[in-house]
Order: sequence, then structure tokens, then C-alpha cells
Amino acid sequence: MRYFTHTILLVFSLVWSRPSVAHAFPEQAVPGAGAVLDRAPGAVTIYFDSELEPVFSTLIVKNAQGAQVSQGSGEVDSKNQAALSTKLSTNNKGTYHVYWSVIARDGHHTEGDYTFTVQ
Amino acid sequence: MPEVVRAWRVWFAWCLAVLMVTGIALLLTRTEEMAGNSQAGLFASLEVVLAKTHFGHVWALHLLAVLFLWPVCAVTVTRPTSPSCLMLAVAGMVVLAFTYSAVSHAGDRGDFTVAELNDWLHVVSTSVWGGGIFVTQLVAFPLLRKRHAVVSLVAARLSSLSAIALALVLFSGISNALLRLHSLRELLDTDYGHVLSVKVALVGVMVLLGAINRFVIIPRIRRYSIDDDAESAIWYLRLTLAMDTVLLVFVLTAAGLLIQGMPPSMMQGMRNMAM
Repeated sequence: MRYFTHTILLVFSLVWSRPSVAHAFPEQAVPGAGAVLDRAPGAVTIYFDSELEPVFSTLIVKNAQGAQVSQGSGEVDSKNQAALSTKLSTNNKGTYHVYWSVIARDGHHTEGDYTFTVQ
Repeated sequence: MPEVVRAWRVWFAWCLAVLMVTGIALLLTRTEEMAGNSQAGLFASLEVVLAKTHFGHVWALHLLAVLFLWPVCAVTVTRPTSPSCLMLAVAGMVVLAFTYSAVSHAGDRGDFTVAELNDWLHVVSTSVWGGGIFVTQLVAFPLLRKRHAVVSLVAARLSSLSAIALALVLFSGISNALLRLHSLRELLDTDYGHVLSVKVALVGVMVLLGAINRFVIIPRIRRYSIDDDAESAIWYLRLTLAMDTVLLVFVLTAAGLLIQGMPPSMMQGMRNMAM
């Protein structure tokens, strides 16, 4: 009976001993989702509501044909670890797709995408 | 009371085993989530996680704290009244509590922020309060059936310790709620608020039971020198403590639901996912 009780509590503890779930969500993006611009921005930056893990967080921009137009896979700002940015190497008009994938401080993953247009 | 020390040792060892197993499992699952579709393999990713991520650093500290507590557990069995052993055990547990807070909602904005320190205080004080109830009900009382004087002493000390811990639980809990709720209306309008309301209500009942123990039952045990009258009061003491234990299980379950849920302060973030 004693070991049964220990086992039951062991099982319950597997549930209770988990740390809480924190996710990083975007608060602001530059350029913003759905923005219409006169010329291509030099960089895309997304500001999140919590600090990010630089090693596993990525930000990629692709043109309408699916070709990557951003340099590298994005970089977390060393002075503001809630900001993720990437530089663009294009001046062409058209619709661009921004794909972000980040890991919050607790190791949980969130991702999303949006578009902006250069006329 | 060597039999109480032996029983406590078994429970302590079981708890450490649970912490180690779940800690390793969480590290592996979180590494898998972080690495995503990486071709590097789980253990290669694990090396990166432990070396280069905040979660990895904190969780390595978590596992080291659990390992540290194993020899502390062994030494406290042979020296149960040693203050230095007790201090080492407390230090290990405080570090464990910090690791939970550091990878929680409260740690989103960095380490040693007000939110994280408050959450740390909440985890520590809840562990002292709840741990005292569990150990007394599940370990000590079953072995102290006819020792009325010892039962009275244990209950009195538990009551004093619980009063201090509970005050800190309430202070830090209210602070946590203020940080995660934009208004009191969210207690009624959100699932998170509903669960929090239930948790607060259960804690309220436990506070009432604790007050009955402290101001009615324990004084009555001390007052009566005749065993039969003390027996009656001790029966009520065991009953209220058993009720406290059951309620605590539900309180911790509600806390678990809150931990896994999304506080209203993060709901805007969910809506921004479309960005």
C-alpha cells in the first residue's frame, strides 16, 4: 500500500513539476503586416513581447517568386533581445513574405508570417 | 523519533527521483522543440541548448541542484538536527524554485526582474506551506498516533510556519495576479480568471481550517491533560489536516492549469500571431 501511494504521487508529480509555458509573440513589426511602401526597406524588424533565444530564432523574407531576399536567417539584437531583424538585399517592387520562427526564454517555439508590398 | 526520520528519508528520496526524471525528460522534449527539423540529431542539439541558450543554462542549474540534494538527503538522515544540513537543504530547494521561475511567464523579460523575483517568492512560500502540510499529514502523523504531546508540538510549529508562509503566498499571489490580469473583470470573463478564482476560493477554505487549528484545536489539546479529552481534540486536528491535504491537491491542480494556460496579459500576443 505504501509503495502504491508513492507511485501515485510520483505520477501526479510528473504533472505538477512542469514549469509554466511562456511564448514569445510579436508586438510590432517594421514594416508592419499589410504595409504598402514606396520603396523596399533596408531591413525588417519584429519586436516581441519577451526575450528570444538567438541560436534558434530566425527571420526570413522571400519575394513573390519564393526566392529569399534577406541576408542570412536573422539576428537578435544584442542590446534588445526581444527584437529580431534581418537586412534585405532587394529594391524591387512586389509583394514580400516575412517568415519568423522564434524560441522564447523557456524554450517554447512560436512562428508566423505576414506580407508587405512595395509599389 | 528515528521512525519519522526513516519515513521522511524515503519520501525525500522519492521526490528527488521524480525531480531528476522529469527534469531530464523536460530537457529532452524542450531541446527537440527548439531544434525543430534540425538534422543535427537530438544529442548534438542538446549540446547547443545547454551551452548557448538561457533555458539550457537554467535547466543545467536545475539538474545540478537536484544532484546536490541527494548527498544532502543522505547526510540529514544521520544528522537530522544539524542546522548546517538543514541550511544546505533549504539552499538547494531555493535554487530549484528559482529555476522554475526563470523559465516561466515571469522570466520573459529577463532574470531578477520584479516579476521573476515575485514568482520565485511565490514558489518558495507555497513549497514551505504545502510541503509542511504534506509531510506532517503523510509522514509524521501516521507514526505519532498515541504521542499526544508530540502531536501537539508538531501541530503548533506547523501552524506557526504555515502562518508566515501563507502570508507570503498571499502577498506574492496577489502580486502575480496584478501582473497577469488587466482588470478584476477578467476573473469573470476569461478561463484563466475562472481557474484563478477557484484556486483563490480553495486557498480561502484552507486559511479558515488553519485558523481553526491555530486558535481552537491546538489550544484545546494543550489545555487538557486527560488523554481522552486530548484524544478528541487530536481527532479534529487530524481531520482538518486531512481536509487541508485534499484541498491542497486541488489547489496545486488549479495552479498547474494556470501554468499551462494563457494569462490575459498574453492574449494580445496570441492575436498578433496573424502578423
